[in-house]
Amino acid sequence: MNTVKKIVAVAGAAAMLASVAACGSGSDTAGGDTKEISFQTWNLKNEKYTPYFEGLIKEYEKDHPDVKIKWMDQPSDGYEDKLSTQAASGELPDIVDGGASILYSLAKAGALLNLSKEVPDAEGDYYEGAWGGATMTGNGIEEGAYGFPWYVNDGPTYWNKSLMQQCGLDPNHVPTTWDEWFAAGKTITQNCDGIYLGTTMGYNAEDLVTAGATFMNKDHSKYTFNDEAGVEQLEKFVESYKEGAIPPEALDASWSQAGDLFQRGNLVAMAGSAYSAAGFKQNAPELYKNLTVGPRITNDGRSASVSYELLGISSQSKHPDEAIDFARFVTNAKNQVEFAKQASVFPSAKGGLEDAYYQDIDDSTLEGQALKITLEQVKTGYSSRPAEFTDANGYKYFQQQIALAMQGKQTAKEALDKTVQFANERLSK
Amino acid sequence: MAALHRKRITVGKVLQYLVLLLVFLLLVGPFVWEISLSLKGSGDNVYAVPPYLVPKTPTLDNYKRVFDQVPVFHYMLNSLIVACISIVGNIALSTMAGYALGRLKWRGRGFVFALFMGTMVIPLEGVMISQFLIIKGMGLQNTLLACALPGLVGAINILLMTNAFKSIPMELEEAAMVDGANLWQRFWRICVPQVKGTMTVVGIFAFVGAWNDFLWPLIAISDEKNYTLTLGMNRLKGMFIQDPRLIAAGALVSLIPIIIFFCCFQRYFFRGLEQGGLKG
Repeated sequence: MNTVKKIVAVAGAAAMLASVAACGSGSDTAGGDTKEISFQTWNLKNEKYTPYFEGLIKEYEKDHPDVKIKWMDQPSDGYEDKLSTQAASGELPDIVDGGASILYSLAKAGALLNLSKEVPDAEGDYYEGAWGGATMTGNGIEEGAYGFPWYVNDGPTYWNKSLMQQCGLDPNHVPTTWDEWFAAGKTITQNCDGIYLGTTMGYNAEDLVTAGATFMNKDHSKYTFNDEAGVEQLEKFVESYKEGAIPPEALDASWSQAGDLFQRGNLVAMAGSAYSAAGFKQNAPELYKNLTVGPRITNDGRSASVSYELLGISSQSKHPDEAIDFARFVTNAKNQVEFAKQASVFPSAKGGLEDAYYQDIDDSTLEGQALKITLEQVKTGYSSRPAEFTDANGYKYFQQQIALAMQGKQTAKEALDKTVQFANERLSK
Repeated sequence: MAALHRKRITVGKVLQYLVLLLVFLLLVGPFVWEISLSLKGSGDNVYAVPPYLVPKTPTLDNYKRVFDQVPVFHYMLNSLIVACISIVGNIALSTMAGYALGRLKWRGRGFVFALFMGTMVIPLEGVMISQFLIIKGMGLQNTLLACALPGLVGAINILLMTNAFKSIPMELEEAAMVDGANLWQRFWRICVPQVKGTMTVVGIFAFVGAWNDFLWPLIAISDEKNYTLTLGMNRLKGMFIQDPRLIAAGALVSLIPIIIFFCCFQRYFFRGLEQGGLKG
C-alpha cells in the first residue's frame, strides 16, 4: 500500500513539474477608467481586411477617448463551438459577429440583447429586409432584432458557356425560372454524358420558396414547406435527378465539393456569391474565361437567398451602451460600404446601396456582371431560411430525407412531411 | 538464365509488390499533390482536368504569404511547448499507470482499467463546456497549460503501457525480488528498461496528438499570442474566397516539425511497435 502511495506522489510531482515547465501568460489586465469593449469577428483578420478594421477602431477610439476596442477574431472552423463555450462560461465578447442561425442559438439561451427594445430608433437605420433578417420570434424568444445587420451576401448563378453550347443550350439565354431550369436539365442529359446541370436539389429554403412554397407560418410556430408548391417542386428535383441532371455525389449531406465539380467542368451551372467570380479567376483561369452569369432561379423574380451577417450584443456586457454604439458605428452606411467594396458583399444600412460605387458598376468583367446582378437581387430579395432552421434542428435532416427521396426510397411528400415533423418537434425545445 | 528468372519472380512476389506500390501511391499521392499545389502560381489552373503535377508557373510565393500572414515561428514555439508538456505527461503518467494496471495486483484494478478505457469513447464536444469551466475555475484559461492539461494522459497510452508491462515475464521481477529489490526499484530498474520502445511510441502519439489538436485549443485560448500552430494556420482559410494553394503551403509548413520528429525517433517507433504488439 505504501508503494502505491509513492507512485501517486511521484505522479503528482510529475504533473506539477509539467505545469511549472509551462510558461502560461497572465490574464488580461483591466483598464483604469477606460471602458474596454471586446469585438469578435469571424475569420476576418488577414492581410486583406485587417487594415480596414484597424482603421475603423482607430477612428472610433479617437472620437471616444474613454472607450478601448479589443478586436478579437476567431478562425474559420469551430466557430459555433467556440461561441457556445464562451456564452456558457460568461465570456461572450461584448459584440459578436455571426449569421442569423448562429445568433439565434445565442438569443434563445438569453445571451444576447433584444435590440428592438434597447435601441428602438436603430430600426430606421437599416433596410427593411435586413432588419427583418435580424428579427427573431416565437418559441420562447421575445420578438425583436438580436443583431445589428451588417454585410449582406447573395450571388448570381454562374453558367459555363462552353458546356452549354456543347450540350445544346443557348449561352445567350440562360434559364431564369424553374421551368426553364428543369428543361435545361433535360436537354443536357439528352446531349451530354458525365455533365450535370447543377447540385441544387431542394434542401435550401430558397429552392422551394422561389417556386411558391411557404417555409414557415407567420408567428414562427410551425414549418409549412410541405405545402402543395413545395411537394411539386421537390418532385421535379427528384425527376431531374432520375434523368441524370444532378450528380449522385451531391446526395451525401457532408459533401461540399460543388465548387470543385464546377471548376473542374462537370457542372453547367452553380449558384455562387458575387465574390466567387474573383475566386474562379484565381483558381480556374481557363474556366473563368468561359463563364457567364444569370440571376438566381426564381419564379417571381425575387431572390430568396439573401443572407445577412449580424453583430449581436452580449446580454452580459458590462458596457452595453458603448458596445451598441460601436456596433452601430461599424454597421453605419459609410463603414459598411467601405467593407462591402473590398469583400464584394453588400451594405445593409439605409443609403448604402445608393452609394456612387453601386450606380456605375463596370460590367465588362465577370466580377462586374456578378456584382450588378447581385445588387438587383439584394435590393428586392429576402432571406428565406428562418434562423431557427439550423443545421442540427432541421437542415442536416432535410438533406438526408431528400437524398432518400432522390434514390426513390420515399416520395417527395414523405421527405417533406418527415422533415416538417422533425423540425417542428425541435422548435418547441 | 531462364531457370534463374523463374525462381526469382513468382506470382506471389509480383502481387506483393503491386499491393505495396498501390499502398505507397495511396499514402504518398495526396502528399505529393499538396507539394505540387503549394508551388503552383496564379497562372496555374488548380482544377485542371486531367490534373498535372508540375506547376506551369512555379513559385514560392505561397510560402512567403504563409509566413507573412501567420507568425509561424511564434505559433510553432507555442505548439512545441504544448507538445512537450503532453509528451512528458503522457510518458510519465501512462508508464506509471500501465505498471500499476499491468503488473500489480490490487482491489478495484479491473474497475479502474474499465473506467480509463471508458473515457476513450467520450467525444470532446460532449464535455467541452464543462472541461472549459474547470479550466476557467483554475484560472488557467488562455494559457498554453490549459491546452495541454486535458491531454496530459491518454487512455490509449495507458492501454499501450499496460500491455507492454504485461508482456514482461514474471520471472524477471521475481529474480529481482529474491535479490531484495523493492517495488520502486523493480519498476524503475527492471521493468521500465524493458518497455522503453513503447514509451517512445507513447511519446510520438502524444506529440502528434498535441500538435494536430484543433478544437480544444480553440476553446481554451482566446488570445492570439497564445495560439498554437493549427489555430494560426486556420486563418489561411479565407472568409469569402479560398486559395487552395495557400492552404496547401500552410499545411506543409506545419507538417515539417512532425516529419523531423518522426525521422529522429523512427527506429524507436518500429521497435516499440514490435514490443507492444507481437510479444503480448
